[in-house]
Amino acid sequence: MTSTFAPAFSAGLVALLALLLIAMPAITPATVPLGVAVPPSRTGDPLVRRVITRYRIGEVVLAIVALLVDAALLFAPPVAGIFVPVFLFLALSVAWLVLSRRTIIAAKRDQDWYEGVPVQQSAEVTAPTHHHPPLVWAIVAVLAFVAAFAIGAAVYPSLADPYPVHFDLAGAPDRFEPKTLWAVFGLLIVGVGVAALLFVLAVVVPRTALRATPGDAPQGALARADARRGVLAALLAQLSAAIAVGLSLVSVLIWLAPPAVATRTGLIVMILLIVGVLAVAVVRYRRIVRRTSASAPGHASAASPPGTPPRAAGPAAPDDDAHWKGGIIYVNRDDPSIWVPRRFGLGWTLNLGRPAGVVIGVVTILVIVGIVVTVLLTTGHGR
Amino acid sequence: MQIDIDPRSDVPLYQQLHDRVVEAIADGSLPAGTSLASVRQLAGAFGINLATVAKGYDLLRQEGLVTTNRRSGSIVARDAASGPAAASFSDGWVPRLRTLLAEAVAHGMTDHEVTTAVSTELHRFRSGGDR
Repeated sequence: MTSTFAPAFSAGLVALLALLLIAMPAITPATVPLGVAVPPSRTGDPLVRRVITRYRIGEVVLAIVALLVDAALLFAPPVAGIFVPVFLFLALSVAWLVLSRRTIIAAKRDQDWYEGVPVQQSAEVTAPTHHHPPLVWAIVAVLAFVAAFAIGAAVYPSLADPYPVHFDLAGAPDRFEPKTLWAVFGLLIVGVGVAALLFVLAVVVPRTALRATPGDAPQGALARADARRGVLAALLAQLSAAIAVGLSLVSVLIWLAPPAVATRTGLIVMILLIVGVLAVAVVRYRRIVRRTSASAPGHASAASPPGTPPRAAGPAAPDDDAHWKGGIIYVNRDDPSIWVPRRFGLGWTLNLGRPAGVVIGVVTILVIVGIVVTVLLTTGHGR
Repeated sequence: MQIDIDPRSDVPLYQQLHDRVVEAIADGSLPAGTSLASVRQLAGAFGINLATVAKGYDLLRQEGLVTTNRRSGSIVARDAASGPAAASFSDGWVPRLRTLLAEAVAHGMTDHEVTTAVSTELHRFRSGGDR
């Protein structure tokens, strides 16, 4: 049984990752191109723009290479078909990013870009105020789950008795179990857990300390950080709702439609919902960055013609490249925070300068490796 | 209330922290009774050492501008509207003012320039600052 589902899935994943990596410079503050801190007067520097363009072209080429590998693996076992192109693309992309940013780092060092630039760091000295959680998405999630459980309860007597509980990558059932409440409702129960966890995060995120995005120009940096936190909280709440609606739909389809149709349709709907939610977050975040940057006096406009001397810009964020290994990994012993805002996109990253940060990082890697190995073993076993 | 520090300045960070809070109290941005972020929150927000922020807060406490208790955390203890300064305050303040004025005189500033500078700064605090 050959299936086109696995290669299509990994092709979609590679395309999604490529889009995110290509969009990355657009959603990163202009003062941190490719994770290199530069003063606001240099954000429109021809060299910076050239390196970003070259980085994006490289990512397109790498995505095409990964898609070709994906096509070559069309008849390989599904596990290899999914993991090889995706990991190949990720590894090459990281290498290309590290290589690209070196050019900016060298120019910054050789031409002393921070010479004479006033630097400043901002923070709120008053006690933080709390935001309200986005309850509407919790209501959507609860309604979806309640509807799914109600439908499940209604059709339960008529469901088949060895009941299909596991599907191969083509969506055909490959394992059956005696019909129990867990076999029928297990997916929904796990879904309730995942959605609840995401919503708890959506409630916790706005309560985290307000901290300027590392390297972001100080003018309006706190407003941007606040907006960023808000976008992330909304994103988590919407993801929670998307997973609730998606998994409810998958469960209901499995009960009412032929399994192959059901798992595939349900998965596609859920992926579309998640991609839609991510796209909304990117658009909202870009709008905020543009609004708060435009109002900042001295923020170098990207439209300034090449060759013009840098304008007298407002203060810059301190050059914190020394704390960012590879532009991505944060190591700062002085910083008491375990989680700090990422320079790339939304969210937080670990401070590996703190013992707790190292412990969390190691545990996370072990969990991810464990999950990947388990998936590899079980899917291999199922065939 | 946002405060700014300059990590490259010769002025130590704890002193900058102290100075910015005192200025914010003077210009009315931080009226008496305002809750301040905890040492941990502020150090986390700046990404600087806890001890640095604690030292800045200690200084503010010694001067009676901030009080800290276990239940309500750190709050601004007094501002311009809280009545006349304690007698002990001017005992410490006048010698520091003398040093500052001596610098101005030694660098050749005239009395008029000095008094103009003083009233400009005072006016800024009285009119709510430039924030």
